[in-house]
Amino acid sequence: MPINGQRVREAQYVKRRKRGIQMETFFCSGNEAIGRGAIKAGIKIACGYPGAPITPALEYLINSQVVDAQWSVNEKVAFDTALGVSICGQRSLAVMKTLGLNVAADALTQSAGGFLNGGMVVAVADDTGRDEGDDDQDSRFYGVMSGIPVLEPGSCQEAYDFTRWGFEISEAFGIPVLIRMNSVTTRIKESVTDSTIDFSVAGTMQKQSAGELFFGQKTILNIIRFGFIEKNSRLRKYDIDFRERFQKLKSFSENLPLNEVIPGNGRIGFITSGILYQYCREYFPDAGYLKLGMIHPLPEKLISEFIQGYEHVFVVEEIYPIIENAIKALKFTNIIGREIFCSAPQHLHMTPELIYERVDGYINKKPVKHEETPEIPVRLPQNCPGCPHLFTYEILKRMGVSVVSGIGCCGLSALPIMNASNVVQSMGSPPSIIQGFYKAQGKEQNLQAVAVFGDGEFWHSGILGILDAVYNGNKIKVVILENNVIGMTGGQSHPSTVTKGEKPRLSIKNMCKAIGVESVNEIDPYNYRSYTNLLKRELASDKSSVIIAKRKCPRIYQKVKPGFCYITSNCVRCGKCMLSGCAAVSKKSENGAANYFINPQLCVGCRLCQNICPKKAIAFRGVRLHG
Amino acid sequence: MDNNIIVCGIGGQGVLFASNIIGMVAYALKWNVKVADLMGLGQTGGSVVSHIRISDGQIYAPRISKGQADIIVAFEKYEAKRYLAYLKKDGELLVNDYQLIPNTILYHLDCSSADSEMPGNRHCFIVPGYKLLTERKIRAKCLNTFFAGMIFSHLGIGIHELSDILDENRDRINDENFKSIKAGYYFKVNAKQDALI
Repeated sequence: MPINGQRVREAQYVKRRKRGIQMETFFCSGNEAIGRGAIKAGIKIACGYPGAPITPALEYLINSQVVDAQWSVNEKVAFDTALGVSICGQRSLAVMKTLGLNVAADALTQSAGGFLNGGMVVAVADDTGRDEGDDDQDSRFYGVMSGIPVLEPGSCQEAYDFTRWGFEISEAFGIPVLIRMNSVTTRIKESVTDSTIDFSVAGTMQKQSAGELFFGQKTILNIIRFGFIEKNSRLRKYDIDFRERFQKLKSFSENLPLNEVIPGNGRIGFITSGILYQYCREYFPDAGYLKLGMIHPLPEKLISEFIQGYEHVFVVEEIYPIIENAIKALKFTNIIGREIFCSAPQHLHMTPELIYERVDGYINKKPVKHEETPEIPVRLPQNCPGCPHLFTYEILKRMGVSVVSGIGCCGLSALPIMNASNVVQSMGSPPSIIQGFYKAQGKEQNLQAVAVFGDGEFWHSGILGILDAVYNGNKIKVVILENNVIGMTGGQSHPSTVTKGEKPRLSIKNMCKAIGVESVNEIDPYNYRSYTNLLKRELASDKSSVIIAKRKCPRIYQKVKPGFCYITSNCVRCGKCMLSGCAAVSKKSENGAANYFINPQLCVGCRLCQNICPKKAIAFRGVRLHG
Repeated sequence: MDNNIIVCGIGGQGVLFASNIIGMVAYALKWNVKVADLMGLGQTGGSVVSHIRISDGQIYAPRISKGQADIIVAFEKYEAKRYLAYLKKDGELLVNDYQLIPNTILYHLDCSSADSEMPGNRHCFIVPGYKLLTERKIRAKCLNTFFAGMIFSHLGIGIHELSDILDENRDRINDENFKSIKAGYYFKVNAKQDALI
């Protein structure tokens, strides 16, 4: 029974459809908005490396097939590829997460020295703002330390517009532009309007002709500038004064429409940027706002004028007080920031109600409430049931070997559920750390240690660690878990991914042999017994060794389950099946005793539990279950 | 008209797809809508939550504040309890009759005595989602769209209007999802008439 309001709306809807109103808006996520903005700006190429939460931005571009977009082997390669395109006078986009920018940092900081011939935007997402698992890194610092402009969008519309602005600013000043997203702005979805923007403020670029093409890094240019430049010298063309360019950028920021003043009628004002502006506006609709679209360099005049109009000015930003420090250096006394919000490492997790509580508490002099601890226990991330990684870690755990793990799906083994890794560091570091272990022990190799990491990580930078160990004659033991995809971020491809397309496939096995690893073995980790024997044999030998545990990621590739396992009455309740870390094994307490059971909805029939049960109390039922 | 909706569940249950469809339909109806997927590590078995804000007026924060949600849809009982603090005093809570004990309890990493007991007030409704789907011969995977259908009924969207919008987006919504959305929609409508919900 439709109620009255419904009828009216349905009638309106029918009318609208008859009129055939054209949509010039679209509904998309912040990530997609970056992709769409880049297409609108006319990019030639987009490249990047997957990493939550910005992965879908490049995925959108690859799937759209409008522009040339590709996954690179690592972030530095992605950045340099995009840079090359821009030096050649075309527009390019590089996409990476904040930790990925660390890998590309060398390239980024030095690129601020030269002069680009085409626009270049680096979309980078900080892992802040979500409910759990922050890494507390602030990529704005890269903008500050290398003199690169940083834009921070706070909505999908802004992500779309700022990306387009990014290319214009980049071309006007011949410098890459950072677009800083975070975990919230990348994942919000809302409607975006495609409007025409007047970019005339930015000005146009002076391109170099093909004959005089030159792009130098900062150090090189500094040597030329300080050492040899005289007026009318032949070296004149090398003289790119990036200090002067930065001053120009600074005065440009005063007139940039992205820095918006929203006058208020209260006595309080806010200086903020990105998503935090939306949070503040939610609770303080009447306050005055200075919304900074460009957070580096800061428009100092605009800020000074704004501050003078209000009794209290709150600077709201997450983790590090970058804007706040810059403003406090201007010697205003009515600025409140980290006094109420704290800064890293004691920083707060910003939510609209938290901002309200703190600001309201400051104005009305109320005591600060302490954050409540969550009532419901968290769910720790766990490898999917049937994950081939579980086999490797179970065997290594039983052998009592020290394990240095990679990150991503391998890194989950360090959590107390599986409790199988001793060291977890960064992308590609395990073989180098193992080499360090080898070096530290000298002649007595008492501590048996092995590096375990995925195939994506091998191509990213892990290969360099193995290469270095071979070159220096250190006999390291490595297990590479080849599951055909970069799993944690949702299944992106890497050089040894088998795809239906024409991409050439590289082989990890051949690569390891080619760089001189003495013993290279491939095995299916589901073969529990022979895998155990192989690991024992290889760890006992005195050769450098790589074992490739080859099995496709079941989450991405397994469409049909072969069946499922169940626990029979022979169970003695030792709980060893659950300690393997399989998410399908669970227990319930009945009459004071713990009864183990396997959740048939989650079980994919990998038979790991069957292999490790000491009493053979787990049976397998072969049913072809879809999904 | 202001509607704050929270959809929560476990990774793999399709929370994000459900919120995406709700956002898409609200957008097609020319309402202002913001969908925020606030999830942790997106692994199977992790906690996933999505905030949806729908309004006639301007929406600023995509995040719903505590005590501001009009309706919470939970695909799992522990998750329902986790986000209960976001519910308005007279808000509605729809919970799927399914529970997956958090692994921190199973592995004795968290010693709190939390259970999945639902609050016993009249606004909490336990929907036997998987059972209803089996009765209607729909795959268990479509639980998310079934609950999305219930949300559409809650929002007061007409069935013809809804079918038209879904038809336009057939590239994203397959036949089974379509069937499941309708089943959820009618389930809520009938339950309202029978004064069950």
